[in-house]
Order: sequence, then C-alpha cells, then structure tokens
Amino acid sequence: MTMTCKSLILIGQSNNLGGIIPSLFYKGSISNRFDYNIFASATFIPGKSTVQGHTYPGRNSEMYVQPSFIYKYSDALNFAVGYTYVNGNNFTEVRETEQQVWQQVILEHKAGRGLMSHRIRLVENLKNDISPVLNYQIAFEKPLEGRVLDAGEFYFSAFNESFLNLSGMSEFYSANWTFVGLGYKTLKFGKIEVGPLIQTTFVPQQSNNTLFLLQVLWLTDSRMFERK
Amino acid sequence: MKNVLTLFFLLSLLNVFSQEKRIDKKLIPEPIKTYLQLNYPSARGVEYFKTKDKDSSLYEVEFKLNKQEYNLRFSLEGNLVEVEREIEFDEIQPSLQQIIKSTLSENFRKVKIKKTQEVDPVGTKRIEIHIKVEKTDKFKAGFYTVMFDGSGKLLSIEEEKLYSIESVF
Repeated sequence: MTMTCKSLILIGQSNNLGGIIPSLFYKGSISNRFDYNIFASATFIPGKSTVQGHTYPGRNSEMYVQPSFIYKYSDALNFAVGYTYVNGNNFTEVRETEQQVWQQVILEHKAGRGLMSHRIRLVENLKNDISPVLNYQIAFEKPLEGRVLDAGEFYFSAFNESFLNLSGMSEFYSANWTFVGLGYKTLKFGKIEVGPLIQTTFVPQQSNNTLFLLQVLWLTDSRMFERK
Repeated sequence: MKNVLTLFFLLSLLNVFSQEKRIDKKLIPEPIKTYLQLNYPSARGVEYFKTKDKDSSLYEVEFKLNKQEYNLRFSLEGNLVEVEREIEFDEIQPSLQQIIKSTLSENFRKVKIKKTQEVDPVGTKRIEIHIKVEKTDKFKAGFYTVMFDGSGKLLSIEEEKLYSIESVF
C-alpha cells in the first residue's frame, strides 16, 4: 500500500535543483593529425535540496571525467573516441557510477558571422545491460568583435544536446542539455565561459529531473605551458 | 548601478589585447570610402575592421562581389596596401594554370585544390593555393598552402596547422 502511494506521488512529479558546475576542458597536441582532450566537471548543489521525499544538505552531486583521443581529418571534420566516468546522485539516494565508451564525428562550418558545429556521438554504457545512446549536439560560437576570436575579446557560446536512447529500456528521448554563455579569450591561459546550463532528464512515469546550473568553464590547451 | 559601471570598467580593461575590431563605416577615413566607391561600386555586405598586424594598425574591408570574397587592407592614412580575392582555379589564365599544376605535381601526389586566392600587395600579384595531398618522400599527407608569384614561380610551401574542433561534455 505504502509502495503504491509512493509510486502515485512520483507519477507526474518533476524534480528541479539549482547549482554550480565548474568545468575544465584541456586539449593537447600529439601531432598535426592527432590531439587528446580531457574534460572534467563537478556539480555542486549548494543549498538544502529535497528529492523523492529525502532532504539533502549542500553537496557535490556529480563528478564527470572524460578523456578522449581526436583524429583531425581536416579543420572542419574530426573523429574521436573516448571514455566517460560519471559518479553522482543528483536525483537519487544512492550514489551511482556510470562508465561509458563512445565514438563521435564532429563537423564545423561557418554560420552567419560565427561557427556552428554538429556532433553525433554513439555512447555505450559499460554495464551488464549495455544500453546504447545516440547524442546529437549542435553548438554555435561567435566572436563579439571582429571576424576571428583574438585574445582579449569576448564571444557568445551556446549548445544544445539531445540524448536518444536506442535500447528501448527507457524513454527514447531521454535527456536534453542546453547552455548559453558569454566567453572571454585570455592572452595565454585559454578561454573562460560563464552561463546557465540546463540539464533535463526525462524519466518514464515521471515528468522530468532538471538541473539549473551556472557553468563556469575553463578551456585551455598545452600551449599554456609554452615559453615565449 | 555602481557595480554595473565597475564591471564595464573591468571588462574594458580586459579588452586591451584585442587584435581586431569591427568598426562603423563612419569611422573609416574618407580616402578609403572614395577608393571603394570608385573601384567597387556594386560591392554588397561591406564590413569594416581595424586590425593590428605586427606593430602596425590597418583598416580591413571585406565584401562580396560577383560571388567572390574580397579583403582589402589600407594603411591608417587610407592608402591601399593589399587586395585579397578568393577565385576559382579555372579563372587563372590557362598558361599560368599549367605552370602551377606541373609544379604542384612535381612536389606532391594526388593534389586536390581546396581554395585559390589572388593576393595583390599593390603591384606584385601572388597566387595562394590551398591543397590537400597524399604522402610522398618529401611531404606528409595533409593540407598545404603553396604560394606562387604572378609568373608561376614557386615562392613557398607551408604545411597548414590543423586544430581540433572544441566540443565540451
């Protein structure tokens, strides 16, 4: 009976949480054809939050680490393989770990006075029930002064990513992430982007789980360590 | 309000390293406006920039004319410094095309021409060819920029540096 009541409460229920997500994007060059990349982020929910009847204090709700290996076919077309480690409990009582391997193709072209990229990524979870997910990310970046982004200039940055679950175990359209931000390119230490990142997960028999995050992203590369 | 003004002040300080700025037509010297009106009266979508090249500052004007992209550089006094025009390889005069093609095939294997530009630093025309090639004993497979003078003499070969596309998460 209690179980039934809890299930009924969960039907149609949405969970919304707010937080901050500092992120790091580091790129290194192996050769003129190959690069490597490490992306890492930590999600913090600073205040008290209530999820499924449980109240949590402020916490680090997710850790995300993602190394990848990139093949540059051209400036406009790249291929990559990578691994993602995610550990967290944004909307669950128990902290869960997900490990994924993925392959992707990314295409970039001019759009208006900026650059637009399209990324298609096939992700497989390293679990007993391997559930492939196909992600499509569309991104746009535009310098706010001039044609190319030079050091000391601001730029606009945005992306939207759709997660399509191919396993049939959960919702086909399983998640959507949207980011809109303002960036600044420094003289030597890469770029800084700040803006809202909304991560929504569509859960069967429930409306959705949404994280409203302030992303602070530092994008840098190995040139940072070069001596002049 | 005070905080907003402070923020704008700090942002303007951050902007001192800027290499290039889009500027309004009103800020362009008169000789440049006159030159454009006389030489490119049908130019559309004209954009104006102030750029820094090494230690000197320049004005740059970009526009499209007859489906071709033009980039003109002027000194701060308004004197023309360079004209850059994206062209089709077939537009080059046939005899010069032959010279360029044979030079390319002497140096590279399986050449694909990606882009051709005519660069004219006032009076000394050069042709810039962007190519994709396969590996030979002399050159790695990849993308190269090859520069010729107006008579087809090879001036330089430079491998293009490839940068990966940044994509987060």
